[in-house]
Amino acid sequence: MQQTLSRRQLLAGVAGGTTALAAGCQSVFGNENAGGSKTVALSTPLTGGDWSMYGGAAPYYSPMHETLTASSHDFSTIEPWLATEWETIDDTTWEFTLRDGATFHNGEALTADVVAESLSALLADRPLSWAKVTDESFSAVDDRTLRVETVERFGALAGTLSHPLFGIQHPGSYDRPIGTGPFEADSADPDSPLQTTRFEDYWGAEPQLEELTFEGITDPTTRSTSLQAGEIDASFEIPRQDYDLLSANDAVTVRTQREPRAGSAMINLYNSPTDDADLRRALNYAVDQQSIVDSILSGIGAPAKGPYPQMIPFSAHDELPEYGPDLERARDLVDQSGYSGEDVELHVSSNTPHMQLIATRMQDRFAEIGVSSTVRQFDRGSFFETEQMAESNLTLIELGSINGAADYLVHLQFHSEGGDNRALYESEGTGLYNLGPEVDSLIEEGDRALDKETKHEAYREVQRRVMDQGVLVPIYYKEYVLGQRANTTGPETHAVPHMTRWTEFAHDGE
Amino acid sequence: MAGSGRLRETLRRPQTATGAAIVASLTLIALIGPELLGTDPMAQNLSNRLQPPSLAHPFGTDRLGRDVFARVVHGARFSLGIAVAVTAIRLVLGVAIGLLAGYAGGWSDELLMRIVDLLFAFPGIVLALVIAGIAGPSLTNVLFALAVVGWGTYARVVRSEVLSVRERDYVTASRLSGTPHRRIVLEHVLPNVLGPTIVLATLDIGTVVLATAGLSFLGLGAQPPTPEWGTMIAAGRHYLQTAWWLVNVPGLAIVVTVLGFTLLGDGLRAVLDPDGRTERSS
Amino acid sequence: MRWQYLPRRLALTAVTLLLVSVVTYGLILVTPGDPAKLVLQKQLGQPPTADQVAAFRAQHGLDEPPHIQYLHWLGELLRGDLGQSYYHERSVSELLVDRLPVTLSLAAGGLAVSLAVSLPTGILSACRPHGYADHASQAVALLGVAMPNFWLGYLLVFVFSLTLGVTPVYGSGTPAHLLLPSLTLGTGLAAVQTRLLRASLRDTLDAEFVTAARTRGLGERLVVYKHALRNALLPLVTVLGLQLGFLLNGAVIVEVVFQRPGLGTLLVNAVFDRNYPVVQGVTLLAGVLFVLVNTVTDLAYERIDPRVRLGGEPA
Repeated sequence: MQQTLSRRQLLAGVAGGTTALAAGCQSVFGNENAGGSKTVALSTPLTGGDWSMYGGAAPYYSPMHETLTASSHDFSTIEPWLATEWETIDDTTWEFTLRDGATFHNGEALTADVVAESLSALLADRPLSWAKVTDESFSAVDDRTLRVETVERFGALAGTLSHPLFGIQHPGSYDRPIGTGPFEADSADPDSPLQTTRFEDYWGAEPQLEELTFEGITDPTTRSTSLQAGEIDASFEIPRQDYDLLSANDAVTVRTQREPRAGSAMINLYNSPTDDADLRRALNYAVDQQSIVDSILSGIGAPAKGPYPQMIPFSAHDELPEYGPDLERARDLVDQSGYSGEDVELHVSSNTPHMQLIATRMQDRFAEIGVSSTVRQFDRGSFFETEQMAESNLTLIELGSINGAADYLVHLQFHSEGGDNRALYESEGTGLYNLGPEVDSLIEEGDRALDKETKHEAYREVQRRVMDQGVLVPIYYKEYVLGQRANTTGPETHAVPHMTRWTEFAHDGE
Repeated sequence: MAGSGRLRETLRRPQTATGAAIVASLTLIALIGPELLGTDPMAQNLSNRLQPPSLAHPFGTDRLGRDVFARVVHGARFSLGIAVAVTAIRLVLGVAIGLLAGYAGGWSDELLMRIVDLLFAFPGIVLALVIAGIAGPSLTNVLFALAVVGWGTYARVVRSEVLSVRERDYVTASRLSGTPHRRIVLEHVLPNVLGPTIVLATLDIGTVVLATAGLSFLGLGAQPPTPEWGTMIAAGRHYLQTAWWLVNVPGLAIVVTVLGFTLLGDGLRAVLDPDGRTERSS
Repeated sequence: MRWQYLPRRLALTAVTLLLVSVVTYGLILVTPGDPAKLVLQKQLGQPPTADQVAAFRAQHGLDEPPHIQYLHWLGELLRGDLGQSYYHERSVSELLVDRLPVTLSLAAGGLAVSLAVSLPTGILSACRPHGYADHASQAVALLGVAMPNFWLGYLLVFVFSLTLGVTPVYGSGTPAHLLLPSLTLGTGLAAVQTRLLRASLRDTLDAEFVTAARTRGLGERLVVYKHALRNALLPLVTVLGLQLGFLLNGAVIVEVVFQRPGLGTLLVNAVFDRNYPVVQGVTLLAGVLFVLVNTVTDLAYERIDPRVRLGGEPA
């Protein structure tokens, strides 16, 4: 039998017969496969959002803007970045020493003046109450020293400042991103991929690539198929079900990485029938986390026991009891609770298809203990609407930290004035997941503590109470999947994918 | 009678016979299939998920270990049920408005026909998308959106029939002798309209099945875990490489359904609408 | 052409367009929920304060009574301004202009594919009715009509992009990107066209080709074939509106499947994002386009009609 040359092989031969090209499944259309130029796919485009304060491109994932501090790859420490050291002067005053030799993409030097102006402008445009700083907090003591006044005593300031939203954009102009990072962009068009080029005067590790392009591909399957076809060189948020398929593909490498992020079913404490603690505990006993992780998440992730994975320093995971699954106990608790057959509403966002499956799974399990439920799906627009959340009994969400400190998560979910509860607390005195004044004080104590021990113990106590009262059904701790072409190396996976260090990404030409 | 002779002859043609057979089977499946089958389309079995077709599960299992065959059979009820409901509403609405417009004439006719023009001014999916999107994603909203958007053709066909009948001599004679409008409509207009309307409706059902699936695919229609075929394809499309049966089985079901109704409709057209009025009015 | 009906026709068209704009605008007003809260929540990632909501409403004129809002909108519209998208401070017209070429190229591609398939098939079927080719093409046409385009799209991607690696998986920009989407869109349309052609050509051509079969000379046969082509195009022209509807409907789904940044994906995203100005803009554009095409087609039909009915004798 004659072997006919496939068109692919023919073209590869014509291309010079580089072994790498011939062996892989390179598509003719992946024109970014030249050694110095790579394309990375994200689930949403970096341009086209409300990022005018950053020159038009989001500071997440992108290598253009940098922060004063950075989280280490494993989330365990806060590292110096644009600031080399910092100290507290008094309860609410901090001083950060900036490094020498850092320059912006427009050639200007990094000084405390510029940093103060930049951060003030950012906070004036976008107030961030959880950061405990305002647009009046920043001032320059001298060229190299930045003073920060916090709103109240806040031990986690250094970690908080590593949040990408605190990326420093040169305050002069905003028509393009001008940061201090290893790559720079000429423009940020809302409808095009973001193209960045190596910044020759970068202060830190030398970038390995000449060009790095970021493209938003919203459909998860398309990210996976484009990677296989070689149209992109790397992609975050590869669908879990494609993991095995991609592992088996010689042209592609896949890695997973734990995140400080968890998927939970938050239980509305103020809406019947979940206003009954026994019923909430019953629901907890009914859910089979391990089985959910193994099947629905294809084994990528870990079963959760609380709202925060172990990777977060104050996680109480190790001491929290494991509820289920224990259907007998669950049924007993249902009887004990006086549940009268009312429907439990589970709300999921259409953004997260795996949550829908999980909700359907939970519905099945709840039925087995005699609790009837309905799953309602909401589009991205209405999922977080207050009325909708007030009607829900269980809301399935994924929440995690995108900065080096995860403290703000506790306040957000469990404090009466936290983002989730504030609207209902202020209008009706209720809320969603806030247990009351005792927990509120604990959270405030933790927030204000300057030493780690006090802070972490307070947060751990909050977690114990939250789990005891069944304020949520913990489901999984998240692991993300990073896929890339086999002819690339790096970057070292970062616990917070938004903080990936792109100087580590390179071509592995054989 | 020439009519029934033509009907028999058309049913003997392989295309029409196939169409009729498909429609009949589908109706049967939709009506009693789920009960006959017995398998629960919602029964989850996580350890058995994403299994390829086998003896135990002729169409494999899905992401939660549910039997795809059972889901497709139950889905027939939704897809066909919605399609029939939408078509029925369109038909009733369209015929009523067409009768009114044709019979009343004058400015009410103009007004109603402008509304029909308006309906035809938008591509169907666009309008249904906007309506269903605004009202919120659910099967009922899709039903409503599709029904509201598609009665125009029926109205036009009926109206033109009414107009042509109105002028005929025997009708004028009837009116002169005092026959009420209602009887004229019942005896002269409706019988003439019946044929083309049935053809339109049969063909329409196929279109609606596709439109419902399309809107569900976009995320507006049936929500999981409802086993509607379009929703199943939307959910399964992320598994095309790993579990192709999730997409291809409901896809095939849609194709067969639409095929059946189209073949039947074509055959009926030969009998019931030899003048081709249905073709000219869309 | 019946010129005396032209002004009346144009007036009717104008009224229809006006009603289109009312409907487009009105749909949005019957939505549950406050768009200000929804949009701000999404942008900020947390529930907005009352001040922020008020500012948003003021900025987008949401506090005025509906008919005033409509009149404002209409006024701006006539000046060429379709308003501001709720997100990202972009003007709706800018978005439409950016995305229109992508959708137009898809529509053109789909139309090209469909004609390339349906014309020869339709003519062949009509001149050899009940023959093998006729049955085969009918079968394929039926399949094309019955097959959901999102299924077909993914299948094509699977076969051509993934397995064979000859076409890109997603996006737009090169002719190669247009290949699979056009194929997906075109097959559905081809099916519709083939059925149409076959139905309308069958009788007229039967006679023609029987004559042609008896003709010896190639020249005369060629004349008949050309005549057949012209006859084939006419029915297609008369239902241009129908085809445009098919193209626009199909484009919405095909763009989503292939991730093309056109008007279809713009509309779907805007609907889910509650980005009402954009929804209104796209719907209006579609409506206007449709009405105009249908008006032109109706007028043209009135002109061609007598010739078609007389058997299409060349003038």
